Amino acid sequence: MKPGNTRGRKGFRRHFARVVIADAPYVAMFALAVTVAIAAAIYSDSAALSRETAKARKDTERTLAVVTAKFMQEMHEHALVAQAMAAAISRNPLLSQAEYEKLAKRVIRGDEDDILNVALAEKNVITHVFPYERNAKALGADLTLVHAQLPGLNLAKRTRMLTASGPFNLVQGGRGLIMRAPVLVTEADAQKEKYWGTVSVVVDLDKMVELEGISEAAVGYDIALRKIDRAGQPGQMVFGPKRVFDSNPERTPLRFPYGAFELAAIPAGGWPVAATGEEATWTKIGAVFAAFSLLLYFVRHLSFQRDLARRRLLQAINSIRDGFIMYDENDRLILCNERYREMFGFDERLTAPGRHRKELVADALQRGVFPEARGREDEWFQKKTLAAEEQQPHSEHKMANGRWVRFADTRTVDGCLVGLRSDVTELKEATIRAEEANRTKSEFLSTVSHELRTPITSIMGGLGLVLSGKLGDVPASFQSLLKIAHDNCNRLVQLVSEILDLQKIESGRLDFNCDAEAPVDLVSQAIEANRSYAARLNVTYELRVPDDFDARILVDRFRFQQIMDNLLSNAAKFSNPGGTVIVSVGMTGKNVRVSVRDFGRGIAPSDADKLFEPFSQVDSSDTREKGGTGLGLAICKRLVEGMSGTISFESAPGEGAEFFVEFPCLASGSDDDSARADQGLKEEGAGRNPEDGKIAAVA
Amino acid sequence: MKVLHIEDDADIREIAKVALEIVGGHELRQCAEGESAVEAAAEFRPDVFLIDVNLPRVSGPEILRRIRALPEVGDAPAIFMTAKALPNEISELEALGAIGVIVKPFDPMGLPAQLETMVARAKEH
Repeated sequence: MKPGNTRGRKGFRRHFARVVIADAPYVAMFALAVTVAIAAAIYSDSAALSRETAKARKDTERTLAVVTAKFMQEMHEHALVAQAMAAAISRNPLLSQAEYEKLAKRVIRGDEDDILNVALAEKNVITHVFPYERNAKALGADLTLVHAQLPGLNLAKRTRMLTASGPFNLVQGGRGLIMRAPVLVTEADAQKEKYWGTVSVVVDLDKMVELEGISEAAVGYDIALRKIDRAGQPGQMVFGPKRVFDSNPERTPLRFPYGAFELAAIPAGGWPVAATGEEATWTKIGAVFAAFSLLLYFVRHLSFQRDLARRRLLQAINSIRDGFIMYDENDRLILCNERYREMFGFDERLTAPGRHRKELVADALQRGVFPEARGREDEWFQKKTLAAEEQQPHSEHKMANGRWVRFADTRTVDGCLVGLRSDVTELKEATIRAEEANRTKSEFLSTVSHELRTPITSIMGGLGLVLSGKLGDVPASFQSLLKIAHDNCNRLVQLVSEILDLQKIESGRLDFNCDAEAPVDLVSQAIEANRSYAARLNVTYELRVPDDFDARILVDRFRFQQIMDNLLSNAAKFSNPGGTVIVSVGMTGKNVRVSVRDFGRGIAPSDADKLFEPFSQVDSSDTREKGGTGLGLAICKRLVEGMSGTISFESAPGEGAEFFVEFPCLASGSDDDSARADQGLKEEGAGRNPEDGKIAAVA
Repeated sequence: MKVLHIEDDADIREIAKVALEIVGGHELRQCAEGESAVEAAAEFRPDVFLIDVNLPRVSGPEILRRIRALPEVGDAPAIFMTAKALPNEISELEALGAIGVIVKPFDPMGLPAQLETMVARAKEH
């Protein structure tokens, strides 16, 4: 497994996610700013477009109005020519070609160049034309034979009104329009006017548009004209491109007595599709500039905040009184504070970001900063790495300059290594002093104990030998005094031992060598050891154990014996002469319980609290009367608890006392294997005592 | 049984003498320190050594080591006697090759029996 790699990848992802989350407000604000800028640009652009469109419409409409006016004027003029001719001819239909030409010239007045010809037809046959030179060929032509002419002709004849028809493709090219006025004659005898013929004026549309200032007025616009039929539907195109009508043009209806037209105009390049004005350009530039400014502002703001946070963090790190160092997941230096450099004498060059941890460690070790690492530099480095990986608690090391430094290294979630180096010299020296003092005290007590035991050995030995009578008879009066001396020697020895025990327990220096032991065996041995003592007080022990009881407990054999000795001798001591002490071993829940019951005077409730305190024998006169040091129960409690057990008692004054010692039960018949012992603990209910199960089931 | 007792405290030597000779009826030789003890061992050829642990100059365990180097009496059982009665101290002494440890203060009346029991138990094994 390569933890570095996976950490790197994960770290990056996590880092990325965190940056995005941390910057979410900024990202959102930036997105908002850009959106607003774009919206403003779009809005102002479309506003400009609609303004421009509106202006184009207005201009088109104005142009169209001018064009319409000119067009209508032309049409009227041409109609007037036809009607004036018809009116003049109706008074004298039989005029000569010369008179016709004269009449036509007078009516046309020579400024109507778009009039191709003016023809007179009697019935349907052309009789006169103007101008003659260009149109002589038409004389005598029967108009009814010209298919396209027929509807207009018939209309004029029928309605006796001016008609307009066309457009036609002209022989000479271009398109033409024919205005026809009927010639009506009044006969002498009749009241009614009679249809005689028609005057037709052929107008060259292209010329009309060009010559009469229509095209001039419409420069920059596309103009188109079409007929509107009697049903109001668009009809034939008269002039101009048809697409004008398909391009949402400005329109004007033209209504003449002889027919309806529709004139339409659009700007030459079509309607504006995008704003092209300067305003629009500036708006766009402004929007981009605003968006860019906002972006710049956010970037600046963000980097300012980052700088501030970084500055604060650096200041905080530099102001720590401890050395601080941080490496990335590849053990490359990120930063360290001044105190760190100062502590280990690193220079700026060596503590530049990117330096490998090995380089720093090697430098420090080479300079002999840590004497204990001398000759085992690699091991030191590995150990320090491991300490960080496993999040071990701190370690303390003495430096060559005599100062003690505490290492506390941890890995961050991203895999960076963070180290804190604290100068703990004062603390460490105080601890060392305290430990030394404690050791001195222990040694002193041990020595005192030993030194006391030696003379006591002689005194007790001497007294014992004298009392034994082996060296000669001792008078009875001597004997009782010697016995007192002997007993008190015993107390002295016990006191010395127990003070030593208590001191060791209190200073936490007592070791337990725990094994799986059979409590019944240990209790039996303890009873055996105390039997003679009890016999002297005329007290007997009675051991009660359930059949096939073979539970084990994890205790230090010697310390367990010490506890039992205490409880058994106490019970004997406080029993009435001739009394019995009942010792029971059994199960209570998952614990093995050993109880020692006496039937002495019991313990008053008011004394219960201090029973397990050192030198607290309930009645200090007991110490003299019953013997003992007053330390026994205090030691018992500490020993029991030191082996994960509990000690308690029940008592009623006058009815004796019962002390309980409980230890967690191991598997029945288990050996020293603690794993098997644990397993056994779980199976206890099922496997231990089938009898119990039966009883429970019956009950 | 021939007992070689090495003990620096004269009073205790006296008590032990009474206990082992008069009470126990054993043949006893006593030394106050290690060097003479090693010499005495070669000459006296005891059945059992009773060695005090805390002795001036040469300690009890060191005496035992030196005795073990003697060809004639090297195999004789040794018992330590000490005023340091902590369980770990006792087991450390036993680990040095002693068949038992007698804790001071000892019961002089019971001392011979204690000694005999230990020797008998060691012989059994």
